[in-house]
Amino acid sequence: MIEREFEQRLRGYVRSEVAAAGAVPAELRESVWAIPDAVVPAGAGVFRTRRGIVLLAAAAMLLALLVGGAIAVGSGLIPWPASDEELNVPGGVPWVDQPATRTEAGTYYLDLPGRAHIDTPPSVRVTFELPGGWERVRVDNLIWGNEKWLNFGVADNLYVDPCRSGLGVRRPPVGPTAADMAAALTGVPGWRVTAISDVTVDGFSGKRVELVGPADSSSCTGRESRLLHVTQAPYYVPALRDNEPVTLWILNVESTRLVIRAGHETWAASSRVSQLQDVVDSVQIQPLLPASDGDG
Amino acid sequence: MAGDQIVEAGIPTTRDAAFRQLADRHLEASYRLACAILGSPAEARDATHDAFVQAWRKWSTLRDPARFEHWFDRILVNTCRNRLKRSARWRTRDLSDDLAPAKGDPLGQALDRDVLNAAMARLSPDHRLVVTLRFYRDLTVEEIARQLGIRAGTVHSRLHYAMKRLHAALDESDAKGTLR
Repeated sequence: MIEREFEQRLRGYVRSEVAAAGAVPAELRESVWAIPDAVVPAGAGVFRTRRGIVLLAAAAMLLALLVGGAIAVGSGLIPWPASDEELNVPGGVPWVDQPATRTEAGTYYLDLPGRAHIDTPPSVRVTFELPGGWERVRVDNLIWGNEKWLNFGVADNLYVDPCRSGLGVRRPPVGPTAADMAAALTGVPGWRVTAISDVTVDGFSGKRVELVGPADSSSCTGRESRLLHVTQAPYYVPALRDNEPVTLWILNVESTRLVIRAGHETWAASSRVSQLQDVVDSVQIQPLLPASDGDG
Repeated sequence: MAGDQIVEAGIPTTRDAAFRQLADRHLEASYRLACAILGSPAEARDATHDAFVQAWRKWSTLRDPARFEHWFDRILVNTCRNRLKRSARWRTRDLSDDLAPAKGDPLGQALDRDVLNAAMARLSPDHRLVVTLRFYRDLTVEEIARQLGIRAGTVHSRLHYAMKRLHAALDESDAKGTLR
């Protein structure tokens, strides 16, 4: 085959793939349109807009209140916790700051957003202890060990079909509790739930769900089966291996539904798999937003 | 949200209105480029959204709205590259079965698709990127180098390697087709 013919075939292939993708999905157009209302731009000059000036004035008032409060505390009028221990703030270093190389043993934490695609304050902090040698997969904050892995997420919904992610997420969404999610998981196409039980992690109750992933995701969109829709980029938790054995700890953390996902190679040694439970046992959970009255 | 003042003919003067107009103007082309790079509409949708979020966050670095397309393409391509790298990390299954073309398919184009899908999936993210920019966007080597922020020689090398792999895959398929 001559070079020119080869290039024509290649060009034809690339363009036909793009044509087959179709038009821009309406949900993408809507979500991009909503970005200015939902995301705070970096470096937005506070002095350059009227709103900025108002915010600055509010910040000055807040500072005055804090200074006044400090004086009141100093004078003994208001009791104030003396240390982080009293405040019950776990220590640790941010997992997102870890390089994508093997990490040292230590205590790490992750702050998880409460809503997808929108800049909101994180809703929950998860602190965990890792032995040395685990690794961070940069894009997903996946915690990758030898033949095993886990990640944390706030699961807000499931896909209509995990193998056809282009169909989007369920409407109406899965109910807000851990029990709602556990029940919904029993009907996810391609995934097989093998056990459901009650569980408590760091004082937060929920459901422990054991599943087995699809035997073959190669014909799925993007060659992956998406189990959960979560609030942090890239917004989903897929099967990472064919027939992946997965354990989920789905927890009601005030108004947030925290999910811990652990998976491993089917051939992983039991001693290695048990390390996943050790990490989960070390987890400390700290809600970062006030509890809402509605769901839970 | 009120925005910073942007003075450019035909571009609204507030930050959010300018963003929306430019996003609307370039959304279709951006989504298609993401599809070409990632080979998956669902991945392309998420990557395009994430790239626009990045663009909004970095808006203050856009000096000239008339150069939005070039500026944004760099963000989009980087976002797609990160996704490809993640996928490559997760997918270690043997793709050799995918190289077998669809049997009984009378259309040469469909056959090419099967073969090239598998061959593209085996390319590294960086090699896949240069092929897409060369054959979807029709960029020159120098333009690809500027887009990716790398040397033209590196683009040449990656393109040469990737083309060799893809060429070999098609040749092998053609030879099998002749024997059938």
